[in-house]
Amino acid sequence: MIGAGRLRFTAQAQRQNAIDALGNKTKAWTNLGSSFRVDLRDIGSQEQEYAGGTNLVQQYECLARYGSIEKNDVKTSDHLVIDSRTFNISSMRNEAERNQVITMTIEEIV
Amino acid sequence: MSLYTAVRNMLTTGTAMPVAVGAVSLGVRTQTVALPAIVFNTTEIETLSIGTGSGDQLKRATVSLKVYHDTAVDVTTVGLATIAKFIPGTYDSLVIQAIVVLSNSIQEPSSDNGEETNPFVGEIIADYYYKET
Repeated sequence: MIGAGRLRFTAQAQRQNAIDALGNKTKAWTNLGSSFRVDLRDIGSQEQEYAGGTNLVQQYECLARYGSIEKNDVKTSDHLVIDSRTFNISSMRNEAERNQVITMTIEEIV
Repeated sequence: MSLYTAVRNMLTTGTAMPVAVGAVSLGVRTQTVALPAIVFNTTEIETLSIGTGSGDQLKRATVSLKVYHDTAVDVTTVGLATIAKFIPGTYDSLVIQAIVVLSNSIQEPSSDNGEETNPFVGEIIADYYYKET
């Protein structure tokens, strides 16, 4: 279980749906389902090569209730928007296969 | 007077800018600069046997310009806007007489940082023919 007191943040999942003229997904991200509560823990950052230069990639561990993720059909290809900041989801883990807590590794490119 | 400055001046002066002035740089994209961005470099400089004096001699430089943007469509658009800025003239005391576009291609993006696709990169390779005044 995950205590309600730890779920300090509100997250909104977003998905790319539209395809452009070249068959790639467009930049348009649309909201997915309803927002849900999450916990966010900073697990470090690293500067790395990005688009011909260097950017800071900040990693967080994001905990959410299994039901929130299932209801909103959140996948690793989606984004999470938390406090107007956009995060890429790089992994999702169903803790102990208990269907209670989903732990996601999410990244913000600064 | 340098070819690098001349190439950058060509892309950052006048109207119909393909990207923001601060997003055009030599060798590496400046950190914290938002996309789209252009990174350029020269791969070859050759002095042709046309002209006599040192200032008169025609030179040829092969310039590679990489365009970074979010999608392939965006890269195509910015790439064409960049080529439209290839206007012969005097830049940083170099007289650029002609520019020949050799290729304009889109490369595959990498797929890390939890994204299906990172920003796309397009590469324009062009020969610049110029004289030093």
